[in-house]
Amino acid sequence: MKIKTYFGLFCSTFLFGILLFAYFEGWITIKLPRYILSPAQADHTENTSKITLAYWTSAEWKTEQTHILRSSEIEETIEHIVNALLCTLYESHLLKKPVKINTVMISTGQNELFISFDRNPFLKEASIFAKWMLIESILKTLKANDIKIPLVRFLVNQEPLEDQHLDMASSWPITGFLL
Amino acid sequence: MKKKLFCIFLFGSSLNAWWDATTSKKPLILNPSGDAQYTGRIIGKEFERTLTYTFAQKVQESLAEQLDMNVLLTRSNLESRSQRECAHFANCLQAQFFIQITFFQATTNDIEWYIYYYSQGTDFMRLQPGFTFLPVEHADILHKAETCMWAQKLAQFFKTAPSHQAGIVQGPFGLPLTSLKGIVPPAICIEIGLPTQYNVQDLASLLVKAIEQLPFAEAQNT
Repeated sequence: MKIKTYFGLFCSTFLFGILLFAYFEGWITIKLPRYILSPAQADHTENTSKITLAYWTSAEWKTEQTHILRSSEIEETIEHIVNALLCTLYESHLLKKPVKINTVMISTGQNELFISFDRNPFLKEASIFAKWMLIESILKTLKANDIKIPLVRFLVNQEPLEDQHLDMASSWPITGFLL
Repeated sequence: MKKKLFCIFLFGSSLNAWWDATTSKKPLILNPSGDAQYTGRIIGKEFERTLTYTFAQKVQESLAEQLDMNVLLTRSNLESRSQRECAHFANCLQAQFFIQITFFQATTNDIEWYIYYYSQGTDFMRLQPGFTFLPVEHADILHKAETCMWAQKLAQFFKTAPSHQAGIVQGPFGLPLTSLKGIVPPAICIEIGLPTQYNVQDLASLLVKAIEQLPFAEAQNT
């Protein structure tokens, strides 16, 4: 082999190595072309509907009516309902930080609902009671809007929601723990 | 001869073990929230772990003095221990009662008391006669009735105590609490909301008085 070939091989592998390193370090990202569904292929429809939000404030339960986009897909509807509640709580200063829903999934047996937040909704300084009432508000709101999935599990970014006090590793009954 | 001596020794040692088990005082376990790794909440200018430990120590001293009770803490001041270790500790020692103590900063000027016991929402579950395998998260059902009754008694005591001492009292509530998971003896969690001004000694005295009302303490007193 000629020296030119060696040099070319050296340069190309060196460049490839740099690119690979940059990719694994997250300095560059490779975006593959996505398939975009045309409106004709999407078989779900959305229409506005009235929902009830229930939340705990000033030592009592409050209910509020609002409008959301109700989709033909139940996961999407649940996402809209819980996001509407979280938004109301944040606006009422009952939540100190804005929290949104990442993903909503339903188990194949239709008996467990997985709600994934984009961040931990609990404050480190909050009491057990305050955290419990936040979870109860979500469960009560779901129940008030005819969501009939018996168990709900809460996650953060698709990973189990960890809390020092409340055991979030297992599912919560949609009826909650209020007597 | 050797066989006879061995049999006498075996019988004697088992008799001794049985005597120890029946006459020794079963401990009351206090689990102050936080440890060397977890500081807990910030209350005023202090960490929760320091406050809960001081409080638990005061309760321990008072109960030992007044009722001659065997009270154990799950940790020393800056020691680490997992929840599983605490549960194992309580189960192995066959504790009489397990109390988890947590504090938070109250938003009002009153002291707030919240009483919880462990529940998975399966309170309808009852033990079947004979040997059964019980998942760790259902360990509470072994002493469910006692736990509920004692938690109710404590809550009732705090509710009837003078308002300047007890403040707001809520509960008892059944919740899936991490700190009470897998504990076989009756176990509760007491969460106290501290206002800006409080006296730890007064709070400890109130809890000691409340514990004095419980059946096992009364029996020990008489």
